[in-house]
Amino acid sequence: MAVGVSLQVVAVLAPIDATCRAAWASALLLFSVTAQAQSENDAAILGEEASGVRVEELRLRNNVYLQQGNGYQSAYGNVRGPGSEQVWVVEPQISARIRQNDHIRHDIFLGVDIVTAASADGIDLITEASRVNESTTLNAQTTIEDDGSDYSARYGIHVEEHFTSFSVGVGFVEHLNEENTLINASSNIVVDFLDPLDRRGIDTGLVNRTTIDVQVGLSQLLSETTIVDGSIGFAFQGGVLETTWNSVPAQLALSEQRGTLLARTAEVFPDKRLRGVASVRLAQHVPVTHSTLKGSYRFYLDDFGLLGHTAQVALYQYLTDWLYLRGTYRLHEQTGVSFYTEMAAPDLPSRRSRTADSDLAPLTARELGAKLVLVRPQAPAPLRDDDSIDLSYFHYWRTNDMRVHMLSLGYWRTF
Amino acid sequence: MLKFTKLARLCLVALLGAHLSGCVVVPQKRRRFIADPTMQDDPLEQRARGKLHRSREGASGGRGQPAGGGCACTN
Repeated sequence: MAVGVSLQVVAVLAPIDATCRAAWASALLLFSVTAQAQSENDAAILGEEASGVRVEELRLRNNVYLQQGNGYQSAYGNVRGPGSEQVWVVEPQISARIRQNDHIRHDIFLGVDIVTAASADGIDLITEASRVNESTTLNAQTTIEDDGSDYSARYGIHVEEHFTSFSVGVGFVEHLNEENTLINASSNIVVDFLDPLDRRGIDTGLVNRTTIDVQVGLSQLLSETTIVDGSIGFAFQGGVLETTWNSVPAQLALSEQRGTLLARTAEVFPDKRLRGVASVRLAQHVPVTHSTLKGSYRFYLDDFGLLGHTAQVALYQYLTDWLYLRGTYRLHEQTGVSFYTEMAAPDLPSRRSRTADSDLAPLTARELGAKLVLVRPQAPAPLRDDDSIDLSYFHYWRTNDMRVHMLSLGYWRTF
Repeated sequence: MLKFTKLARLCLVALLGAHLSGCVVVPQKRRRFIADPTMQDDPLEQRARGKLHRSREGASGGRGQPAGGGCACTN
C-alpha cells in the first residue's frame, strides 16, 4: 500500500498584540492533508490510470453509392449529349483520435474511393486507361489544448488518377463562459496538381490550382437542451480551374454554304474564383419525447454568378433507451454559373468561359435519409459496451437528371 | 428564391435574438442532454455526405469546410 501525504501548514502572523498574534496563528493555521492510497483492490476495480500515447476513439465507415443520370459535360453518348453519368462508388473510411498526453491529441482520417468511372470521368473515355479509378485521402490534425484555448495544425494529401492535392491549415478554438461559448477560426491552403488531359487525351503538361480559405464560427449553448452555431467563410481560388477533360457541345461554323457542325469543344473557366459561405444551425433536444430536432441553413455566393441556398432538417427519435432512428430532409437550390451552356454558339471565342458541367447548372437537389443507430453504452447489461453501430440510407436526386442511392454502415468505439 | 431570402433573414434574426436575449451559463453537471448522442455529429458521416454534395453541386463549403479544391471536380 502506498500512502502519500502532503502537509501544508500556513501560518500567518498578523497583528501587533502578542495575544492576537497567537490567536491569529491558531485561527489561520491551515492544514492541508492529501492522502493518496491506492490499494491493489482499488486498482483492480478502477483500472490503472491511462498514460502515454493511446487511442481514445476509433471510427469506421463504409459507403456505397450508385449514381445514375446524364450530363452535357459527359461525352459518353452522342455528340449533342447529354452523356451518361452512371457510376458505382465504394468508399471505406477510418478515423482515429490519438491522445499523446494531457494537452496534445491527433485526429487522423484515411479514406479510399473506388470508382467505376467509365462514363462520368471523361478520362477513361479518352484514354481507356482503366474502367475503375481509385483515390486515397489522408488527413491529420494535431491539436494543442492550452487552458481554454485549442490550437491546431492540419495537413493532408489526396491522390487520384491524374490528380494530386496537398493541404495545410491552422485553427484556433477559444472556450468561454465555462465552455458555453466556443469561438473558432481556421484557414487552409490547398494546392492541386493535375495532368491537364484535354478532351482528345492530349497531355499539355502539369498544371496546378491553389485555394486559400478562412472561416470564423461561433457555437453557443442557449439552454440545457439547445445549441446554436454559425459560421462565415471565404475562399479564393487561382490557376487552372476547369476540368480539362470535360467538353461542351458546340455548333462549329464551317462556311456559309456548309453551315455548322455539331461537335465538342473544350470547357473553359476564368482563372480566378472568389466564394463566400454563411451557415447557421440549431439543435434542440426534447426530453419529454426523448427526441432531438436539428435545422440548418447555408447561403453560398461566388463571382461565377452561382447563388445557392441549402436547408436541412433532421429528427432523431429514441425507440428505446439505446436505439434511435433519424430522418433527414435536405433541399438545395442554386442558380447556374453565368457561363453554363448546353450548346456553345458557333461564334464563341476560343477562350470565352463555357461549361456544360451538370454540377454547375441551375438545379434543385433534394435528399431524403434514414438512419438507425445502436448506442451500446446506453444498452442493458448483455448488450452494453463502449461502441455504437449505425446503418443509413440516403436517396439524393436533382432536377437535371441525376439520382444517387447511398448506403452507409458505421462503427464507433471509445477506449 | 424569394422564399429562401425571407427564410435566411428569419434565421439570422432568430439567431441574433437568441444570442442577445441573455445567454444562460449551463454548468458542466447539467449538460446531460447536450451530451446526448443525438445532439452530436458523426464526423465520418458528415465528411461522406459533404463529399456527396460537394461533388454534385457547385456551392461547396461552409461549417469549417473549405470551399473548393482538393478534388478533380471543379466544384
